[in-house]
Amino acid sequence: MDLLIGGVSSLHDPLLAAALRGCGFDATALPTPRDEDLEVGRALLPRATPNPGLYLVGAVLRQLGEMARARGVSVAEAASRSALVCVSGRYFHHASQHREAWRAAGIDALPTLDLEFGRVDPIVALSTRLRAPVARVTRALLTAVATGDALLLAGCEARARWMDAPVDEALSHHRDRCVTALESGVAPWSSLAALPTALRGVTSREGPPVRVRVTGDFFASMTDGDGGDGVLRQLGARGARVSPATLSEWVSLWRWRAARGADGDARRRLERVDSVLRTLHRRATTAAGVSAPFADIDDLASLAAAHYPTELLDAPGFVEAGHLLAAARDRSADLVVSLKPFATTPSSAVSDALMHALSQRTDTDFLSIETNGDARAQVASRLDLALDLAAERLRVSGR
Amino acid sequence: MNVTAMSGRGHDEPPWLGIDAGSTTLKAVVVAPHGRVARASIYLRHHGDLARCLDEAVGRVARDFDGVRAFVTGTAGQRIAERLGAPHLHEVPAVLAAVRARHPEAATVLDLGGQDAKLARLDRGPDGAVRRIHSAMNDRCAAGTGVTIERCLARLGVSSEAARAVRYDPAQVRPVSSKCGVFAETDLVNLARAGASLDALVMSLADAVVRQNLAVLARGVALDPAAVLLGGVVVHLPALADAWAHHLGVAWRARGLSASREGVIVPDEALFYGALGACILGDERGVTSPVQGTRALASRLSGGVAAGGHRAPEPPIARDDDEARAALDAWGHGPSEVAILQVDPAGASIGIDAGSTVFKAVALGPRGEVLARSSRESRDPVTDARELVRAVEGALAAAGWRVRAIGVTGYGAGLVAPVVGADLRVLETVAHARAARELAPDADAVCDVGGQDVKVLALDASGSIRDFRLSSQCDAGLGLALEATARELGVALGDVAARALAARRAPRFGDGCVVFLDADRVTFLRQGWTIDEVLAGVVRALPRLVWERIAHGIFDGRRPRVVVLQGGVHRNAAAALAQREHLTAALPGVRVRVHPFCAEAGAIGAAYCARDAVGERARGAVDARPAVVRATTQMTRDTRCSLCASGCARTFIELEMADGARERHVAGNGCEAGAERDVIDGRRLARRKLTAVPNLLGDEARTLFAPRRGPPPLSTPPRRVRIGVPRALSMYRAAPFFRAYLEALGVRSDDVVFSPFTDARLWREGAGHGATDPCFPVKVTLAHAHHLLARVHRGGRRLDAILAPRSTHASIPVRHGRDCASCPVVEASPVMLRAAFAQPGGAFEREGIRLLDGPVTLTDPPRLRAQLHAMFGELLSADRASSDGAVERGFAAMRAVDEALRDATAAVLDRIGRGRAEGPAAVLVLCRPYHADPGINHRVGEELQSLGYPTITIRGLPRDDGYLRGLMAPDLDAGVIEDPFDVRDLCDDATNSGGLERLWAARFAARHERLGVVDLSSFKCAQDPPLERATRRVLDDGAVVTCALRDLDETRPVTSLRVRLATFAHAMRARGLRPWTS
Repeated sequence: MDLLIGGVSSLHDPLLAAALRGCGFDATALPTPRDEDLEVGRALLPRATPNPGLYLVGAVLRQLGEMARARGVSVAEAASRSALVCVSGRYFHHASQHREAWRAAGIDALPTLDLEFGRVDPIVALSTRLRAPVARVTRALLTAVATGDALLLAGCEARARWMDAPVDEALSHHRDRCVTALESGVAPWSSLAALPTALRGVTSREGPPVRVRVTGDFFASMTDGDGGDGVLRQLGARGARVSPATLSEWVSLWRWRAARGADGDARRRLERVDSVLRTLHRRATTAAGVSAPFADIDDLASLAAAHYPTELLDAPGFVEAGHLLAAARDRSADLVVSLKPFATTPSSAVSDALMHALSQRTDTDFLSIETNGDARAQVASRLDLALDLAAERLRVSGR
Repeated sequence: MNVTAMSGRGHDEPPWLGIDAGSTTLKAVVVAPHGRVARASIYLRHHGDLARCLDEAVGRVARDFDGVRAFVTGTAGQRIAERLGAPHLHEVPAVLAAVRARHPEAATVLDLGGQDAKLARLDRGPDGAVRRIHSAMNDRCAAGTGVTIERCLARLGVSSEAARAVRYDPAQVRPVSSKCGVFAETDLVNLARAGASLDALVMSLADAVVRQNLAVLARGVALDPAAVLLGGVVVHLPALADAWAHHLGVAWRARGLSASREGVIVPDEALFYGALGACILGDERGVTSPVQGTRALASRLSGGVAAGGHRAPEPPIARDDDEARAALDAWGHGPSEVAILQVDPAGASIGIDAGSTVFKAVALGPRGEVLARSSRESRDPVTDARELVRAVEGALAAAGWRVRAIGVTGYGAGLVAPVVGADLRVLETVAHARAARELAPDADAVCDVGGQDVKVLALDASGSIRDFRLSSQCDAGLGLALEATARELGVALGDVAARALAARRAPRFGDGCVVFLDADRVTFLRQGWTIDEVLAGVVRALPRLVWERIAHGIFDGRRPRVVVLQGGVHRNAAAALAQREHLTAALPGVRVRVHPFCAEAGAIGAAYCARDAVGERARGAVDARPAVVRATTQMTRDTRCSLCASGCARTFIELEMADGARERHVAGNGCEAGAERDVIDGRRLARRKLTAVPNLLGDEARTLFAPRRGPPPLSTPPRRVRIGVPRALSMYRAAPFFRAYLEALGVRSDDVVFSPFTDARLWREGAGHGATDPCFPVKVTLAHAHHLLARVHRGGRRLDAILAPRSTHASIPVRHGRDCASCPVVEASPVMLRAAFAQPGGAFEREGIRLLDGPVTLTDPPRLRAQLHAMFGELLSADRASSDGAVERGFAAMRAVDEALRDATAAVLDRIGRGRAEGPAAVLVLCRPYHADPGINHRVGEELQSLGYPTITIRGLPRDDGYLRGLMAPDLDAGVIEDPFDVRDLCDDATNSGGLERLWAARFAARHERLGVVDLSSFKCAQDPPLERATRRVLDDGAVVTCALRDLDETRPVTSLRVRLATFAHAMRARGLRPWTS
């Protein structure tokens, strides 16, 4: 069985695939999504499907096509020997929806294994199915998560000082070294340790750097080709110091949500997952020379609870409220940018009202951006405006 | 263009040149160094050619200077700035710098650009200094204010001079969607079709734009005086500034502020604040700009700008020059001129297509040969139709032909038919199907792309419509987008095809709506794509939008053999070629034919249908018919139908014939009762219809909220408590429960106050409260709360609390599902209510109203008991035992309502029976419970009732195991499902209650065989689309005639709604599914 893993980011996907290979599975990372994939997704999935889901379906079909060509079999045959592994997102719940897409593409079956870290069960199922120890698989995957995050954080920090190209080059080089380590079942910390040197650059930007906290939807800011990915690059290019949304935070959020309804063993297992991830995150960020505290979902929830019901089903909307309030409390960011794919519920539909009301009462600016892969000029313009106003406030305040 | 030349030298330092390059225009000013006043200015449309435009601008305003220092702003300014090495400043801070310099008293600044609307609120401290700037720009969904206004005006045929002359009068404003530009355009076209005056349309458009800006930009936050309005649209459309002044005045008066017109400032130089502000801001920030030689300035822009962007370019439309030439030869010249042939005694048939803005007429000979044709843009439908027919009849009469039949189709058919004495009114979809079959007898699919609408029809062997997809509100105006893009790019419409075919690559446009296409156009021009390439990109997007967005899935399982392309857009050879290429790639083996009279195909179809309807009964010689010598129309408040809450905007037509006879007609009526001018006659007819054809969708809405006599209360609060309940969302499931629960705890029946059903007034009054942008059913909840506050509470019936519970789950018939959760947006709607009304210091606190927004889980009785006691125990002084008893009363009330609805449904199902090939049928409305609200379902139940079809709902469907086992025996026998309530074969991981029960009900309809389905879904619904395909597959597998009404939003698209439902009824009848009344 070929496990196709993707839909997270070009940094994380190869690491997750390598982690699975290190556990003895045949795992391949999906190619970095392109806009052609978005078009394929649009043709196969219902409209209003958020674009990370569209990119994913397109990338899967492209990969299956390449596998079919390489093996001299049909796409359907290639699919019949494969399974898609993806990380839970708000729009990846409907495996049935994927099935409809595969059917429309002439594929009878391509099972989706949803890596719901919060539930643990899918990892158990995956491990059982492939006769691998659960703890080992879980740890390998979480190591990949933490490593990808460390690369991401280092990249964001470097983009404020460097042009994109050398940063991308350094990141992919070190990611590949980490891939090799994970494939061998070795922790990639020593591979990460060379990263700070590689990314050491000169600061050439003028003016006070605006500190930007990015929140909202993890996949919106990670999907290559999507406007969200461009947002991180644009922020860097303008010299902003960006704290991006990380996969660790996303996993931790799902774990947090699951833990609320769990008891006994399940709860303890989830706490263990969180503890392991926390440790790995510290190891990875230390190795990569970046400073980024592990997301404290309890803190975010307690800040947001008075404004946003944290138990709301399927709605990590409270996280953006929490980040805004935390940024204002700690004076840790000048601007909070919430990135969400167009048509994602409920953040864009519900919490905009709340966030607008909240941002009137804090000193931290808030900008909500919906991405759908198009209209980049407009997204760029809104972001530039928010950065300009934040920078001007910093200039006036003399910070 | 607007230019004021700067004269004279006398500066040691070169002057500063402010450049504001927007999405459609370029503005430039010259100011003295460090100056705050424009000494010269120019305003030009750039049509994507910034170099030429800048050259012209510099030549006009700075020709006397050898050099300038340039400061650049605007969405398209980045490229200019990079090329010139000049600083680029964001347009909002730039505009604000100019406002601060010129209007220090300003607190609110609104700048309406071509693509962006920007609002800034200047938050001042006690010392008057600006402490903080709150800014907002529209998101992409609401993009294009300026361009949208222009497109709407062009669509309505309003010249810029005429628009400039219109003054705003709130009394004349008609409901036009403020949701987005495409919806607004659709509404305006519908109003125009119904006969609204152009002045009223312009005012309504201005009003809609202001409401949209208030909702999306201000989001319910109060705007302070003084307000400065800027941007080209404000200058060119005074009605817009008036509308702003009106709305701001209303808000200011409500806050006790002065509402004088002086509080709204439209500066003389409103167009130039961006350019001027760039210089001022650059100065304030100490930004340096090198001196530029004016002669070489523009040349540095031209050439060498690589087309960029993230996406790979699309290939050219034509593979090579030969293919481009062949396309232009085949389709680029339009149909050959027609000539009157030798007279045939069988006579000619005239077909008229009364479209939204263009009327077309054709005369056909007995063998279908086109004898004459004529078209004209329509401003006055009645006069234009008469003249059009007179022209065609005259040509025929001159050659000795007699007219045998006249058929009329199109949106204006209701108005036009009596005026021209038509023999038949033909549904436009039927007319198009007929025209296609006459051209190609084996055609099994038709694609009509007109300016406003797209119709894709799948035909059966007999030529009847088997299935159809019509563009929704969201997809409207696709054909016109091509026209609008050409206009924006300064390309003559006739040149579009050749230029698009000449492009050797094209940018890839997204597959969104017309507004999104516009946004992409701006992006691509900014990235350096050429005009020809952008045109090719738009043309390439056309088939994707038609086949993957509008007609998605229509050919699943049944691949067509012959597709006929019709509609004026296919006169564009590039569009026709792109369509053919797309279809042949997607459907190998398909033959694609372009109708030689593609623009007139609707009229041709109408002529054929009229000829058949008349048969041998010739109508006599042309001159024997009494001519209409005078026709007058009336469309006022008095002509609005009052028979039901639909309130159809009717037009009364008075005809005076040449022989002195007078005829009176009614157009725009929704049902035959509305055709009666006399209200009493109308009521009589309406009653007859109501008793003959049940509308259980409407009955369900009424039944749910009706008071019911219950047993004595279990407890009584120490004082009278009155509770307001927004009649919205989960209340359409649980209203009987909550009414019974509250009454059981001693709340008097008349103290449970539900807001009324949604209507235009309720929405208009309450729309401004902290609006966000989810689906209409969710955001209208705010308006319901506003109604309870403003009309009920402040109207004298003081409320102690407003109940808007957070409903977490719903009880549904489906079993074995992973969950039956509420839609998260619906569940979170109380969050919006709290943000809008119940924040500290907010309206609820000021009025002493408590918001009861706790969680409620109706599917989990133990949990529910705890939740309800926590929510109501203290307010109603009810102990736990009483509260628990009240819960049981609530469930009993729900059961009683459910049984009543199921009994009514059973009666309908008994009447239609099963297993017949021919006979009466009914329509299952597949929707979410809140779609029972007539203000949300656009009265689809009544519309179907008037077509003779009863409606039934999911809630009323039988739950009897034996009955359902019989119905679903094939699935049970095949082992596909475990029991009749199992949908896991269709979807095993959905968790949304509404989606799951829709799936189940779809299977019910598919197995029943005597039901059609109308599938309702609201715009921006995120829960329906994931299951859309599975639902459609079940229905298609069961050969269920289905009409999908997607994108339901705030306004009622009357004409397109009726076309869809009439086409649906046509397909039902073709299948032997008869209406209950004719």
